[in-house]
Amino acid sequence: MPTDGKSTILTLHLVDSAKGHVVQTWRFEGSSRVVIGRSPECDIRLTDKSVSRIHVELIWDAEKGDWVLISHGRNGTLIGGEMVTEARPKDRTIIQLGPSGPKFQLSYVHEMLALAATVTGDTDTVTLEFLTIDQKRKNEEVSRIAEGDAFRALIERAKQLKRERNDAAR
Amino acid sequence: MSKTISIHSFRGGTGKSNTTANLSVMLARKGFRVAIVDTDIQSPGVHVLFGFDEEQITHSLNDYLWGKSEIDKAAYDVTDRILGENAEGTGRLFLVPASIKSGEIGRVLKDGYDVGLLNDGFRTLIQKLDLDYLMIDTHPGVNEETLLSIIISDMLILVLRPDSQDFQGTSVTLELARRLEVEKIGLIVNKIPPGMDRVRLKQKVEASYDAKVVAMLPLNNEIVHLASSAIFVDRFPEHPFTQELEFALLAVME
Repeated sequence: MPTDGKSTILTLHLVDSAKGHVVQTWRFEGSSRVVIGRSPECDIRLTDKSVSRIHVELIWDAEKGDWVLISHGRNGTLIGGEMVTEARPKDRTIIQLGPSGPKFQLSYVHEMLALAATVTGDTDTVTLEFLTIDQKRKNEEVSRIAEGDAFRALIERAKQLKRERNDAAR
Repeated sequence: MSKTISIHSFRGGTGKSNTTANLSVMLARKGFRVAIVDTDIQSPGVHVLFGFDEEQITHSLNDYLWGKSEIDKAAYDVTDRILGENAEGTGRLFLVPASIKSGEIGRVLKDGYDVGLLNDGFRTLIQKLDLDYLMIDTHPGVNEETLLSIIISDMLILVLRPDSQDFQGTSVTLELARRLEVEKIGLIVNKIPPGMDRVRLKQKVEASYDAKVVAMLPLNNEIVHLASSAIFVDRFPEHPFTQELEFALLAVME
């Protein structure tokens, strides 16, 4: 893995799509090129068959201070649901290797920022985008329970129990 | 006047029983008289944290619900077991376990039980044991017993993990609790993995649910290693997990 001595740290979190938890983290300090794929020579080697031998290449652009992503994978690479062949993913971007392939959150910070984060006890952040409430589904489920006779009866009964409890406490 | 606190979660595995046990121990340490009732009859677990096995549980909540005994007969005083000399004077801790006999669990699943009786039992416990706090460890999900426990509580604590299923399910539970006019609701986010931004997570949870987060508990390797063999706050009083749980304690005592 070549290094150019520049002061950047690239962190890639493999994210569990269903739960949103980080499954594994790779950290590259001072690297200028990171390759993801199934091939043994990749920096991040995966076994998922939807991933190509060389699927994604990340190249550090020292002048602009960001990473360039080049997709080589047969199934493509997605950022924000869009297929990309080349992109400059921002810090904390999620990249997906193929429409149903593994997801990574990419984050990169400069050495001084990383040092400051260590001192303050902060760690690399994981996106919280997966924490969403499907309001339509929620309302349907709530209605299904709350509009039933059993729930209405329970409310009445519970109110009575509460009154009794409060009376007893007096 | 005593307070009844229900500790609930949408799914199992959130650390609900652990949270209940640890908060209860902390309350007893402060000199309060506290009882935990394990109403998770289908999958009881809190007794393990207090070192009980099947043979030691001669009376359980189930016996009371089937009319076999008074509920206070099933209240085990665990103060000495847990607090030893640490209790401040008057603090006592009682545990009303659910039966761990598979036949008993099967009976509940098959026949159900009278939720009104459960409420009477809570009242009896509060009176006979002169309780300051009754802590109800509920069964996960939404069912009649759980909703009843929630509605008669002064405070509902919802424990959730930062994952998408818990996030969605908790929103349903919370909405139902609001319709049941629960007086006070607090959220505990548990098992926060390393690397997750706690500040942003707290903001997101509070904004999404319009409810107060009372503790943000990290994924805790030590608690895993304890493997339910002890009460965490007793073993690790200085641990960040214990310190964070103090915030939940303050919310309970408010």
